[in-house]
Amino acid sequence: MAIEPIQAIAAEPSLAPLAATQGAGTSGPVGGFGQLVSQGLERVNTQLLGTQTDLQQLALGQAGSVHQVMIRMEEARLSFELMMQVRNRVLEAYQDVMRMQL
Amino acid sequence: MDYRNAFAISAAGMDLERQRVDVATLNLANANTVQAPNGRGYQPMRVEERSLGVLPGQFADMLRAHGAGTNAAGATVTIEPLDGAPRQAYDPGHPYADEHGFVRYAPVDTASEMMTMMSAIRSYEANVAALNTSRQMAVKALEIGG
Amino acid sequence: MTEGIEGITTSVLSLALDAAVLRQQAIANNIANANTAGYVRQTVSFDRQLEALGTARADPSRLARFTHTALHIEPAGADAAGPVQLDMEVARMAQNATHYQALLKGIEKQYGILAVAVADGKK
Repeated sequence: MAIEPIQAIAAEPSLAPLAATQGAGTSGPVGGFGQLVSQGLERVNTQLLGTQTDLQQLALGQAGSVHQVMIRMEEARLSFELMMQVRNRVLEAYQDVMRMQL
Repeated sequence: MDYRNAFAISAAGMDLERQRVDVATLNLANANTVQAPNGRGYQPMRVEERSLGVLPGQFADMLRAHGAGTNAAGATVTIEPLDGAPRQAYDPGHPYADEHGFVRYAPVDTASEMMTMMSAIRSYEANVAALNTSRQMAVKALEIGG
Repeated sequence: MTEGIEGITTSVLSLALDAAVLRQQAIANNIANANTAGYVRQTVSFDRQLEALGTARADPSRLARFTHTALHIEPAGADAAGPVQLDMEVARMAQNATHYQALLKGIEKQYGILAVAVADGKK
């Protein structure tokens, strides 16, 4: 079901070691985080493409049901917003680290 | 789509009730017609509907099916004449009276025609209520997500 | 505005909206002329094209055939001969109005998603 990606990103345990290994550059956790981000992006993209197809079918009168289309669009929007918030937080964290006086 | 089916079904129901009212009106208008001594006179009609269940499909398909003699809800609608013995009234001075002085009128049961019209009106209102409810549900579904 | 699949969706939605507006005019014409002798029901050319498209899943490349210039009000075909039935026209009008609202809501939500991207995730 489409709710999964939202929970998966938030509950992924590999986010915890991120602060400890920032700048250390080990391939394990950083590679895991990179994979995590790309998977999340893939899921959000799939959801957004699904909404495009749904809207086209709605315009041509071939949609299965109106409420299903609306629900999927709302889920896609929420996934997208969550992804943007995650991106903003990661950017803030990165800038914080970069501003550190060494 | 889901609300298209609902609209087509309600429209078919309304059409059937309107046909019932039309037939009842025709019967009532011919209630006092006289049968000629040699031939047949007016036979009252009745709307017969045999339901085959609801068939899903597009609105246009349903309307086409309706035009071909079947209802949009998958029912077969026919208008058939009722059998009945003509009503006889004693009137020797009538030009169409037979040798016993009886005049034969069309066998229209006025009371049952009035009952048919009343029930058809109530069914029509129920169909309109169903259509309005379907429309409200579809519009409410659009409010998902604020 | 945007290229790719979102451009197709927006153009199809706006075409369907134009068709809904024209359909409303055709239905209003039918209702106004319900008792006119010899009047032929009016419909929108978009509906005929949709029927020709069939119930198969829409292929975006075939949507290119639906253009704004080809959209117009035309008399209904021979299968719709007969007097105008008022309750059918009113049912069609209700369905058309609901469809119009659904299309508007779809466009609003789609642009809402794009606005999230433009605003950089900040409100």
